[in-house]
Amino acid sequence: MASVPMEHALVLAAVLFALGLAGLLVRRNIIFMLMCLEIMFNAAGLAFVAAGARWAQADGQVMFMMILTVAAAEVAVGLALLLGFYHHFKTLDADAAEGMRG
Amino acid sequence: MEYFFLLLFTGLAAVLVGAGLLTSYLVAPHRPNPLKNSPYECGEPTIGQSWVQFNVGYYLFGLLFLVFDVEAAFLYPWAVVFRQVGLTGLIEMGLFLLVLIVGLVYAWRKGALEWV
Amino acid sequence: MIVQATHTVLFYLIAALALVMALSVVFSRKLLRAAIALMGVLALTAGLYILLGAEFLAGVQVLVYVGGIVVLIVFAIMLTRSSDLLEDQPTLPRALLGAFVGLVFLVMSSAVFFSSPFQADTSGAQVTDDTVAIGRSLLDYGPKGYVLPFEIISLLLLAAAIGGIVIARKIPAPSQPFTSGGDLPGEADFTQPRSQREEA
Repeated sequence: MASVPMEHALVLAAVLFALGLAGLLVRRNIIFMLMCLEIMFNAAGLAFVAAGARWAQADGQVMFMMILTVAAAEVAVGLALLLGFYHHFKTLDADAAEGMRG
Repeated sequence: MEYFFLLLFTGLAAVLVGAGLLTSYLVAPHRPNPLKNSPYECGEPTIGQSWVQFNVGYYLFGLLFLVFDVEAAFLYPWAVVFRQVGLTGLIEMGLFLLVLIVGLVYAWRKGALEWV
Repeated sequence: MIVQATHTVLFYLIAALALVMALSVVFSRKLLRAAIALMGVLALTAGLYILLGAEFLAGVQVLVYVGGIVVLIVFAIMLTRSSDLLEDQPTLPRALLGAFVGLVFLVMSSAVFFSSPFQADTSGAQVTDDTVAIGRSLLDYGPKGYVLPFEIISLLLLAAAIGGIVIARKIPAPSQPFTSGGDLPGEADFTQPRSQREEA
């Protein structure tokens, strides 16, 4: 019962990824940027699961678990950095950190 | 097929709740009144914002929860195949858990598990 | 036949809903609304995983993404008092640049996608029991196994936990946990009696 055509799921993943990418570039609030990053991770995982279901291999699902872990680690450290950033700059505007460039 | 009845159930539940809300919207009288929008009469109107800043301790707990949540997600597949992989699987999972327990001990020693 | 049709309809329904939710994450101006929409995207993706025959991953998606990551993001929103930090509207060049890069990515990836022949058509075959398959290949130390990435993932999680604790512990707690600390305009100092407060 190959109910969902892989091509369509992959196109959906690509569109979600592009949306997340555009949001990441346009947004200035760091929390929004992290949320867009989560959408991109999610799209990558969706592509892996769709491909894995098509080829009936477990590799796609294992790769999804890896992506999930990376997303969790990224959000844990990223949000901690964000809290430190907010404490230091009193803002969430990513452009406030311009002065950090070396 | 196995999810068909779940789907049916979800659809029925949505229709039921929607019908209830719709009926109440259609039948109930609408007399808007500024007093009805005020907070509960025993409370005072808030001064300043009601958006309070939370303690950072919430974040530390959330972080540790997330890390061990992911760990639990890896425990399920191991538990399912435990009989097939046997001792090797036990050693591999033991290593995995050992590394994470280091993190737990670190959090404990640093006092991240205590409420400040 | 009818099951097949239901699946297809459900797929497109979920896909359209997920796209709408993702759009509202990208365009929303309220942080909490965007967080709820993000939760919607992630939960709908779990629905797609069920349709793709990966029930275990759907459960894990809800457990970790919806139950962990979104909760952490909401905590961070609460911790930064961001309601008055709503960002200004992005400048036009910036919005155009973002849209352009997104479109270029989409065009390039679909060009690669539609020009590559996908071989090994085993449509119809499905992973019979996905949890068992995942467990076997995660713990397999053979050439097709993932035991080394699996062990490295524990190091990644350890690094994330320690890094997060080290960074977040330096942030002092607000002095009064359930007020905003008195630094907002229009917020009175409740340690003074009311009469003195009125004068000030």
